[in-house]
Amino acid sequence: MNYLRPNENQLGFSDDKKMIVHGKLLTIFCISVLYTYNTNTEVIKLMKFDTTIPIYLQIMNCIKKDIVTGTLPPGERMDSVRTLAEKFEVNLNTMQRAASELEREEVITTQRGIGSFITGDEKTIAALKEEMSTKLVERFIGEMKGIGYRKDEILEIIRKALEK
Amino acid sequence: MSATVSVRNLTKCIGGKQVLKGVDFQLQAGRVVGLLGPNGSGKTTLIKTLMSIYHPDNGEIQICGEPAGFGTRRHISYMPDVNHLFQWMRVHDGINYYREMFGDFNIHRCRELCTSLGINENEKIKGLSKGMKERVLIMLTFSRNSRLYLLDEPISGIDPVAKNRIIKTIFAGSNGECTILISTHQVKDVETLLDEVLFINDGRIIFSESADTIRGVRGESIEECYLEVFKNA
Repeated sequence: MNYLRPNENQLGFSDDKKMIVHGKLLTIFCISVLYTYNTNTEVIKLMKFDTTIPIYLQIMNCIKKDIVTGTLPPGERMDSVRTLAEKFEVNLNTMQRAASELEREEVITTQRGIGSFITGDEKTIAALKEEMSTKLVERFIGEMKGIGYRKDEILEIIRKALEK
Repeated sequence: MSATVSVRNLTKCIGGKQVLKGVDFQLQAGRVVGLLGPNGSGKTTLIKTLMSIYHPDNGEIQICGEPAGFGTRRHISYMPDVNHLFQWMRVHDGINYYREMFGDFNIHRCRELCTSLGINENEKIKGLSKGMKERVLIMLTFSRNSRLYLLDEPISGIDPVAKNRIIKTIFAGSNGECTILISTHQVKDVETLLDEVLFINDGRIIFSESADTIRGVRGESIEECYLEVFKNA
């Protein structure tokens, strides 16, 4: 079951009042990652985990998102599992699992003795992006239908929201 | 992977009361395990028995492949639920005490932890607040390079800031090789920390599962699962 959790209001859209209704729905799709900037304009990642979803999956999604948006460019060397575990504030086993799953999905490749690298294969990255958008859209449509919207109404709402 | 701890049919009676009524479980190397249960369920007794402070009435305990006893204590870094340091000590006396007592004490790691936990080595143990005492204890516990860490209520009655620092220390301490067993009834605080949970109630392990299975298969947080299991217990 999906339902709104209080901390999800902090994400993105809450300051734009017109967007609140749809914004709240959209925020369900976002994993709870907040980007904040400190004075050195260095990106600090604060991750709030949803405790009902396996944490390694949430980390995988977060890394995939960074790859798709280009925050982690193709071919880039990944931090070590230990460093990442500290960054995400999770235990080493969780991070290890996230990394090996990403490797299994060929999103990252590990070269023995050198390190792990983001895939340089554009197809994989494009597929990743498509997979993410499909998930978002399916979930959004599911939720909208769940609260009684018809196809044409959903289309209309999206069109209006995009035009704003 | 070999089991760091293996317990079979353990029973223990204290003061005429049957506290442990047949406990069975295994802890694999490298895992962070939560021993969760209400007050009086036998958490502290179980940990003290693992530490060979109590002698089991029945059953078998193996630690790193050896039967538990005085000798297996060298594998274990134990954080008791009460302050066991002498009141007259200052923090650095405590550090020296540990350093002489345990061959695996790492003074560099100890200094690092003192800095990251904000511990002043010249303070008297007697004058420390509860949160500060817990920080000193966790610092001493994780300054050792042990194969098994037993933490008895490391975060009870502590303010959120100190709690956070202690939890971070535990994260940093989990290096994939050592096993950490944390007993607590504050399930929410250790939610993201654990690989596995053991629920103990009335001297028996009533539920054991990996955290990913609880979240992935049951779609529940550990706390929700805890409430559900104990409602029916």
